[in-house]
Amino acid sequence: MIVMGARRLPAQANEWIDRDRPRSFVFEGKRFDAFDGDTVSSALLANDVAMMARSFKYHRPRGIVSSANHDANVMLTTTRRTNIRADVEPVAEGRSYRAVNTFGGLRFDLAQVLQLFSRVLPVGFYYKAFYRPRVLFPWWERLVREMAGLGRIDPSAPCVRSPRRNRFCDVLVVGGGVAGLATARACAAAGVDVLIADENPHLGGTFDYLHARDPAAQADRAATVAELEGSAKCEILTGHYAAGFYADQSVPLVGRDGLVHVRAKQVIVATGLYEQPAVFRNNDLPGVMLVTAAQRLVHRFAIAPCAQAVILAGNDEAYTAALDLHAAGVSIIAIVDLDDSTVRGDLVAAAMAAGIQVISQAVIDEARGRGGRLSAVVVRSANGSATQTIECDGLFMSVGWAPAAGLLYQAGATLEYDPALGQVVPRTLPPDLHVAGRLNGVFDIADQMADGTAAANAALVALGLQVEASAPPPRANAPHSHPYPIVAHASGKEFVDFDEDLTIGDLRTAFREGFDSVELMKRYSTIGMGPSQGKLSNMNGVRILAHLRGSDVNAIGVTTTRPFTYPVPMGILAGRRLRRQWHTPMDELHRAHGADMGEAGTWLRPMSYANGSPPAAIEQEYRTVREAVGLIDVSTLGKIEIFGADAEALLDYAYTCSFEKLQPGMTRYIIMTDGSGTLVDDGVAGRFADDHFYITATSSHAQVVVRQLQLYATQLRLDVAIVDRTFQVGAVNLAGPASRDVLRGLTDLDLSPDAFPYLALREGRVAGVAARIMRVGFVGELGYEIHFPAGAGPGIWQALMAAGEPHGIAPFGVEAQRLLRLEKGHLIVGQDTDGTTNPFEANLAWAVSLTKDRFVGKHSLALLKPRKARRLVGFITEDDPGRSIKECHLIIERGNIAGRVTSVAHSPHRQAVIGLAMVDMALADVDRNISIRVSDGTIIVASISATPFYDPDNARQVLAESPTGHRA
Amino acid sequence: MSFERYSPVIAAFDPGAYEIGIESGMRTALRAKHASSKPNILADLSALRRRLFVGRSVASWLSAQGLDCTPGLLEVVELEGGAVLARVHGDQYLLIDGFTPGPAASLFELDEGRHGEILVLPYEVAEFACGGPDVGALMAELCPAPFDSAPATLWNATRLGHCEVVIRRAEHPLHYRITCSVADARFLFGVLGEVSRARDGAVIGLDDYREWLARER
Repeated sequence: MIVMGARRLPAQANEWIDRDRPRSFVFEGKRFDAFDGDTVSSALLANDVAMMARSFKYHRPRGIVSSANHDANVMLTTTRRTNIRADVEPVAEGRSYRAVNTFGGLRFDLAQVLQLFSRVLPVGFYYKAFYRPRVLFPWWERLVREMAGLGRIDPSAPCVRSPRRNRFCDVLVVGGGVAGLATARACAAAGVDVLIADENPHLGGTFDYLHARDPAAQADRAATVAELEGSAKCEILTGHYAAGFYADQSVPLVGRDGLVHVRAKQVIVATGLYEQPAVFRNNDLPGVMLVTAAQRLVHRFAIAPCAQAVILAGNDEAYTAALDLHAAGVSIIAIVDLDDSTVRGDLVAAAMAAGIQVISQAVIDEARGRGGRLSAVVVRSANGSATQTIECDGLFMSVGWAPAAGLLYQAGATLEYDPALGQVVPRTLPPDLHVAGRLNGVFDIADQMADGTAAANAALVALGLQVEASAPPPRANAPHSHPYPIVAHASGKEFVDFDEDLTIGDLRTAFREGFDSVELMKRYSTIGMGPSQGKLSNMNGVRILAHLRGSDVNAIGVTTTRPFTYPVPMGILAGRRLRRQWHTPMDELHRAHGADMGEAGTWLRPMSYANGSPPAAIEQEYRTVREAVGLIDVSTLGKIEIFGADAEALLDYAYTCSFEKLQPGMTRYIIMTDGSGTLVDDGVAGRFADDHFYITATSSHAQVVVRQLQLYATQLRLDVAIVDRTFQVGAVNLAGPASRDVLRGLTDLDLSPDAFPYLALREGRVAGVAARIMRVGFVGELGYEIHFPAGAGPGIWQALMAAGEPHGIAPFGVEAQRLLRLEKGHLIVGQDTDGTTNPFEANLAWAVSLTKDRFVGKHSLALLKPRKARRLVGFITEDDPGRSIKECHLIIERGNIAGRVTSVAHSPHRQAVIGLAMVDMALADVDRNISIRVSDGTIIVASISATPFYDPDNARQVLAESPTGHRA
Repeated sequence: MSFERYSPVIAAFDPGAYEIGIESGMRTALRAKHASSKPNILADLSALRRRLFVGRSVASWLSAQGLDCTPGLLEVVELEGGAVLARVHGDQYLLIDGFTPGPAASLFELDEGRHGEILVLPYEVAEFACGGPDVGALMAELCPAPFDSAPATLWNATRLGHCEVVIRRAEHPLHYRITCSVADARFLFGVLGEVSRARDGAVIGLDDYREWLARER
């Protein structure tokens, strides 16, 4: 049997709930009934639960205020999610919710005791109270964070991947209310691609509640929605809010299940207004809410918000709302009008005819509560001559509006306060942005529709369509907002910002302490910095500041309105959490061999084949290469084909060395500098023919090098083709004294030293696959770098491993390679150099030909050559048994920084810690001691050493005879 | 000794669920063992042969080989038999094989290296096909550019799922051919598979794709 909530009304024409689909959920451990379409807030109130949460700072009882996604005080948490806004969270069957930030539960929250100390906890109290003694600040900080937090994130919650979608359209209409629907209708009728988005689950906006009893309006709405739903040119996106406005008309629309990234040629903003609360003592009690919240609850959820209500009026809308609610069966006892009620015209008589008492020129002096909800209001005449207490459990505020103008500010629009209207309205708009409806200061429903059509026509004209322009209707000329709906009370507790528990007294204190501009006051008091981002507080904050300064609202200005409109869950922003990683062709084989895969830029590379014991494995891999033969995947190298009559001219310009003497079939080491002479990249260039080169680049700079070469070729108008083959070609380095023997079994190439000398380049077949082979020696042993089509990589790898088995072959990873090359004294660009290192500092003067006609960086290098201020040196120490020296540790000389360690490792060959360091020239002499400061601050002494640390005569790389006795 | 090449996404196919075989010398997934009734498809076409022709006189050279329908820069022409020729750079043309022999068949037999003034290079990339009624939504989720209205003759270099790709809109039936680097293949195929499956899609084999093309035509 379905249990109707205590406050549920009979069916309403526009209700969102589906009475045929009952739901039940748990709140604070207690089960409640609801209907599909209910929000948690509406369902709780339907069950006569008014207190739904506790406030941020003082843990005061809080309930529904707006029922429009601004109730940032009613935050819930589940086992999976937190900071869920109850006023927009659809009830999910069986789900259990709790209020956030309570100690011992909602009703008996122990932290409500903080209210007793509110006098000693004014705005900014933590700035003043906890900075001394300094040692205690972290303790206070933790305590404040603990007491004043929101929900807690559960890091073990399962990962939910949120899709995102890119959408391009002619016109984006933000807001599916009266004006937005008229706009979309006009655009769709004109045949343009239009997307209309609304944050609510249904189109309609204020049609639902402000115009619920207007049959003509409802008929128009139904017709428009039907037309849009049937239009092939219109996409309707309900349940999505525009989170921000970015360059090029880019607007992210955020929904519960993902994000739609819209790029629209024209954007029409019809987001309407936020109704604003009045400020008076205890205006935060559950039961005190905006009148539109009451109307939403009635019409969308069929709920009577209370048993007996008083309405606080600052505009005509209060009276129409009173009549609307009365018609729905809500008992309205009185309207307390801040103004002389005679200005309301016939509305007063209509209210009185409905049995509603009208109290003119009066204020709510105080709301009183019992059991965590409103029980009465104290009404005081405006002149203070009389007070009366009215028993009620509902107080509905209708005192004015603030524009939902966040998107406009972000788009670069300017807005101004219109005193006649009592509202901030747009003054100037950037191109391709349009505004329609109440946001434009247009209130009459027919005018809103006309304004929507006019905005659509303006957008269509901007799109180049021939349409008849229609003049927008004039703004309303009567105020819809009270100029100062704020009543201070001697005992305080008049809340301006519900999110942060800020009162009039807090703002007054901030002003008195000198924070008298709107931006300063915001930062000091935190007004508008809570989860609702000032939607219900900024306008009143500005009014109070204007009052304190004795100026008008326009002179105060507004704070910057930044994205997002509402807090966007990180998961929505992350989308599917795409984390791009590059895999080499042999990736699967490495994993099968127990490789520890590590990131090297975007690439994934085998760091070692450690199987859980990295240091030992790295040393074993090192020894395999030094003593037998190892195989490493170097597919990550950049590989570039240079082909054409001007190939040599291009390389001569792009690299520092001369290519004139590079013979076909040979390679050479190359370095690239930029215009300032800074070392950018290094690699190997091989020549196949006069007009055909094949070069390699470092893994991390391959794309940069390709772009630079293309740029230079274009600048010099060279006849050359540049083909980036980095990803198309796989490569391995077969290194070690037995490498020749291993390769010999797989190729018909003559590998003898005479036929295939050191630095030679050959094309041939390896294991039956067309390959390019370079005899280079980065790791300091006899070695062959073999390049092949990527798809053949796994086969070649397996063939080499099989052929090498009798020789004790083993794969080696990046860690062992770094150690091997460090012993050989080879630098790594980007690690041993930085963003200012030139070739002379890196001991690469031999690779620079200043006699060439031209190359990039030549002039700078000519100037830099005699001005060497630092140098890359080798160092060695036996004074670091704990291997404390790390890369980037500083060299200290007489208390000053005199360099840094760029590479360091323990050398099995030297049985000592060796490294490279960039040091001041004064320290660069061999055998000089340097002082290295390690992480714990201690100093380790090392001595400058000549490099290489291993095989200084290069005998190993040019090995003539293999150790197995084959005559090479 | 000689052996087949491997599709860069071969590891994504469970041999228990797919028939793995050789196509154009590449080991790849040919067929799903259990026929799928899903409307959307994702297939790995990396096995198709590709050749890049480079050189100043490449257009006239191609013409001499019988391919005189050379496309404009970053454009594609479809040849008889389903092969396509794309001009990927000023002096660079990429030939991608189709499923039936055509006039370009002999060009795939050319060895890598210089052929007169022309450099012939194997072009190792990954290529995937995405099709079905929800393919527009799939593309819209992963790609920041609107390809639903792009002409089928364009060689569109863009980003998809954070990777640099080339997207070609194929017609009859409408589907997208996505080319990416071998290094990106595993990542991108995983992303496409995830999104495709979330949209009622299935990963199919190369022969399945061939049949899908024939059926949907």
